[in-house]
Amino acid sequence: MNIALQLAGFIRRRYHGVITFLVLIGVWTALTHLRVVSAEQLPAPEVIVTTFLQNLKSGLLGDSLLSSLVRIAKGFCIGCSLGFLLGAAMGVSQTAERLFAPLTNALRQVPIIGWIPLIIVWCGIADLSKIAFIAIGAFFPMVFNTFEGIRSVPRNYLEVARVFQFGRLKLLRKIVVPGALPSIVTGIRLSLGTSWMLVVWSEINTRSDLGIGDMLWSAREGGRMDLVIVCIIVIGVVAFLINELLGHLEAYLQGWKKTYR
Amino acid sequence: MRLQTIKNKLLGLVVPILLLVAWDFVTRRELFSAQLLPPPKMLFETWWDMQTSGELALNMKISLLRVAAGFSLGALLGFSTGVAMGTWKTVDNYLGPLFNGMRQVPVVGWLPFLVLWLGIGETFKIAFISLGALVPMALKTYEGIAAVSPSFLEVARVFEFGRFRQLTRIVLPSALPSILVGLRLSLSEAWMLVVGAELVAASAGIGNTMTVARRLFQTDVVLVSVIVIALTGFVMDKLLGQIEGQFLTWRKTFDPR
Repeated sequence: MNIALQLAGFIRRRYHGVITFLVLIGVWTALTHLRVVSAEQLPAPEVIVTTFLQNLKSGLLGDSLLSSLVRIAKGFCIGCSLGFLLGAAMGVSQTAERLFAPLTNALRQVPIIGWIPLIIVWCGIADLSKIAFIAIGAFFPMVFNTFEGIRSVPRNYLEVARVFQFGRLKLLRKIVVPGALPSIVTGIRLSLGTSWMLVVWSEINTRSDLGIGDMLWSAREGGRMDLVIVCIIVIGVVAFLINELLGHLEAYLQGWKKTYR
Repeated sequence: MRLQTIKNKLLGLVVPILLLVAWDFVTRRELFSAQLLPPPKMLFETWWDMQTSGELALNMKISLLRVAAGFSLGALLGFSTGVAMGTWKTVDNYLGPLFNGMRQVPVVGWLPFLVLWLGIGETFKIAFISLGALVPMALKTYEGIAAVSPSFLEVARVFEFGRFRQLTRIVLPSALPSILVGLRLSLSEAWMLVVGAELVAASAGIGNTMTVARRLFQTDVVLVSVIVIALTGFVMDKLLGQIEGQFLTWRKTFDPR
């Protein structure tokens, strides 16, 4: 009952958007059923649903998703922690900034997909190259957001700390980290989002047995457009969830800022 | 003061020079085969060869033309979408959720469809690039318009501006900074995607050069291409930044930066 009410409320607020989706699905159904486009070009919506359920039941979808997520977890952890360390070092120490900032900025100029051939030469086409690729992608947003976050801690907070005669560690723990945290979480969100995009790229460029990008590309090669659409939707939903969940965390961590306003 | 800045700049060269020396040392000692890690000197020679044979210029030209076509198309469509959603509430209500849903999917996800519908020729690459360029442009234009201060709009009402006049005189100029950010994001996205598209399917272009070189294990060619791609991207971004500065001079009066 409650859920029905909530649903009704949602529809009342967002009915415009829902109408667009319904119209789109209607046109799609009409196009496919009237055979304006062939099933090879665009499969009917209900086929998508059955394909989705089939692949969900057979476990293929879950396994592919899982193995992509494991790859991301590895690459992201490496890239993100290295990025955090470098960003934090450059943020805290000006010497570190002067030493490493030019090099980091130069490396960042390489469009991330441009690394693929080089990584394949150096790391082969197995899991290692995919993880390395994801790590590189996750590294850069993290460096810059951590750095920016630390540098954007207002000067007067530091003055307060000096008045209270905080030691270095206490300064970090009480002032710098909480002040920089929202930006760091932004970094994590961006770097996780990039990782998700890159895992698909890497799986398309160097095939492996299992992964969501593999599934997408095998489906394309097999002419299974219904499966392709299922993959696209799954990829989109995961990207959305990553963004949404970390976005909420970001807003939550920034909550303290609002109390001053 | 000047001396200090020079010193700081020099400090930035320390790490790259150390890396270069280490790289040279490692290759001289042949700790890695030249195939895996070519010596720095060889990289320069390879670059020179690629340059004099005209191979590099030709492939870069092809890639740049693709970017130019895809970027202008995508940015234009993105701008129109952003303006439409930003100015008309109805369009935003109906298309906003669809747009937000679609943009969650990384562009690479659309690859299979684009290949199926458009083949693997030039149309496909341009469509792919413009799709990627469209999203940041639309988003930033929309955000810029949404952030236009209501008091500006009141001024427009006082002067009894029509819809069009309000758009061109008030809304777009004040959304310009955000729009220009969108333009830059969308250009760098386009530059990345041309490489991606060429990795997946191409017979020419800088991405294709890399793929071929990788298959032949010519690491030197791959490295040179990576450097060229990075430099080109950097130059394009800087140029756009310059243009941005030109457009935003009026803003400097508000913002003493």
